[in-house]
Amino acid sequence: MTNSNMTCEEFDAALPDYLEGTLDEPLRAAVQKHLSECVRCASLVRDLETIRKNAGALPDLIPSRDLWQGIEARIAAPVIPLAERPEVQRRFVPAWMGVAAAALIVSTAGITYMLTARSLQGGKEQVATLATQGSPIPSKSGSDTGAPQISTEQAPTPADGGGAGSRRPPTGSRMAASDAAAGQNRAGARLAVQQEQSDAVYGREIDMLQKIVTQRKTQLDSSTVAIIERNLQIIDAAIEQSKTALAKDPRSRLLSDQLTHALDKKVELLRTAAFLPAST
Amino acid sequence: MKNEMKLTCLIVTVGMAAAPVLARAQDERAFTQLDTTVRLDRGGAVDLSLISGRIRVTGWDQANVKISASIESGLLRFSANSSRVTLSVDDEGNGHYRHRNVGEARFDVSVPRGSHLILEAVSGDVTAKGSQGEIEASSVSGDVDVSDGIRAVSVESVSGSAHAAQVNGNLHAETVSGDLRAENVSGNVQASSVSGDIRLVGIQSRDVRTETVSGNLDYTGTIEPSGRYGFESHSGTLKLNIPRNAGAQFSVETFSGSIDTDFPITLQPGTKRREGHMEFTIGDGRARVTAQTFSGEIIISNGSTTRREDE
Repeated sequence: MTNSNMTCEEFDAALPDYLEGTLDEPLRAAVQKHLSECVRCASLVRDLETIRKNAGALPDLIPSRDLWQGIEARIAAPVIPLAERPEVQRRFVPAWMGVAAAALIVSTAGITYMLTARSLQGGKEQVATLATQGSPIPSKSGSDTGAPQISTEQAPTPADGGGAGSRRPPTGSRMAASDAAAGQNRAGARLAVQQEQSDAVYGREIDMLQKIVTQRKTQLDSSTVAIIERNLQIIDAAIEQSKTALAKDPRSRLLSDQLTHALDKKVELLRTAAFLPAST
Repeated sequence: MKNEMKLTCLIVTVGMAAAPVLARAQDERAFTQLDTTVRLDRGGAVDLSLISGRIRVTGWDQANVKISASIESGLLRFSANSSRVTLSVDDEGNGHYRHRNVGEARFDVSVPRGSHLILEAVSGDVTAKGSQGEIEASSVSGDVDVSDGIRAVSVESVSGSAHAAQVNGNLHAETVSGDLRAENVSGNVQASSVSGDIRLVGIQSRDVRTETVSGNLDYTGTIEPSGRYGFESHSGTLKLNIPRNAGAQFSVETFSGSIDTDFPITLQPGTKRREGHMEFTIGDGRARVTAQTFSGEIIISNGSTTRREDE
């Protein structure tokens, strides 16, 4: 698509700097002129700015050190010491990669937030679980014989919904039981709210990545596109199955984890597709 | 001078089979065929990339990088200094379809042991053996096969297979639909796929994390004291071959799949086993093993040995 003096490819190349506000005046004017005439590019910038604004509005969360290790491993590339790299143009790095990179910068903030929130929540519940399960240390006989020992929780009741994150209080008065029930309801409600927030964040970011991938389809080899689409279908089926099951058992930590993993996988695959070199 | 060691100083000998047809910068030149040997500092990087064809790298006991490369159509771009050797295809052209004008390329490269390899292909195969350094190898539709990496090894493919063997360090392995196989790894392992099967054999690691959506996973390896092992799938089967003498707490859970284990499970008084969820301890219980599926089967067998695959 070509509008005014700037082509969409030139626009793509200038987009990261435009979003950062570091373009010089003539180029910025050319970008704005192009935006006023090109629906595709104007829509892209609108989406990116909306996501950046939403990501910026997310509250700060400071994960614990233990949690951060896991999160960091999921969002950061491994740090490998490299010899100093000469300033040569990297192969397979066309202009669209700037667009994808800009998009991914804003998407990472939202995904990180959700991972952090989920991990923090998971960590809290794990403490509660251990507190009601008794000592995790096996008995002497178990250790000596190597025979495994079951330490499963009580059988689920209709009241607790059978979720992995919910536990029946071990002993106590009716008041304690009532408090526990209220706490479980609050925990269930909190999980449901978290799930909604999570779905919204993933939804926005998946939509954005999907747009990039859709735009790039014509640049990729058809067999690669077919493989990507087939695997996206597999992931979508997993997401749907997890969501359906979770709707029936909203407190299930297993189902919540499964849904999160499937959504993460979809984001990963879309990112991979967004960065694939052309004509592959 | 931008770089103290210019290419012309670095080329030890050997025939440049074809004359340079383009010189973009003083330290970067383009060829259709290249046969050369350049010196590389210990631990230097060798960075090779192509669109289609193959990359084949072998480690040797010399301090030089020996390159034999050719391309059917298009140009090879080459640069070198004491810390880095770079060979790629010239993919600059017009429009999104420029790669279609580039023919198959073949890179045969010998590298000093300890070199850091960065190998990328689009539709080509990538193989590396004997380099005994860090390796980052990827292909989109080609197969990736590396061995003898140390410290950090990464293998990735979208639709091709990914294979890593004899890794003395951490392994990151990832595919989309291709099968993934790792053998004899001593270091942390991260392996993931969407629909490709994952097979991990001869693993000696304190930290293993694997995930797949519909692929099957097969793990055979040690359970180290205080180690952490996580296995996840949606519909794929998880098969864990655990040494009989392992000590670990297991948390195994599935929504609609089944759980089958060779380990004898004994219910403690006052506890009940919830369908689809099992927690049990074997040995000293120091390691933690979690396995989770939505509908996939989970099989935990105790018949594995700790010996390495090639023994």
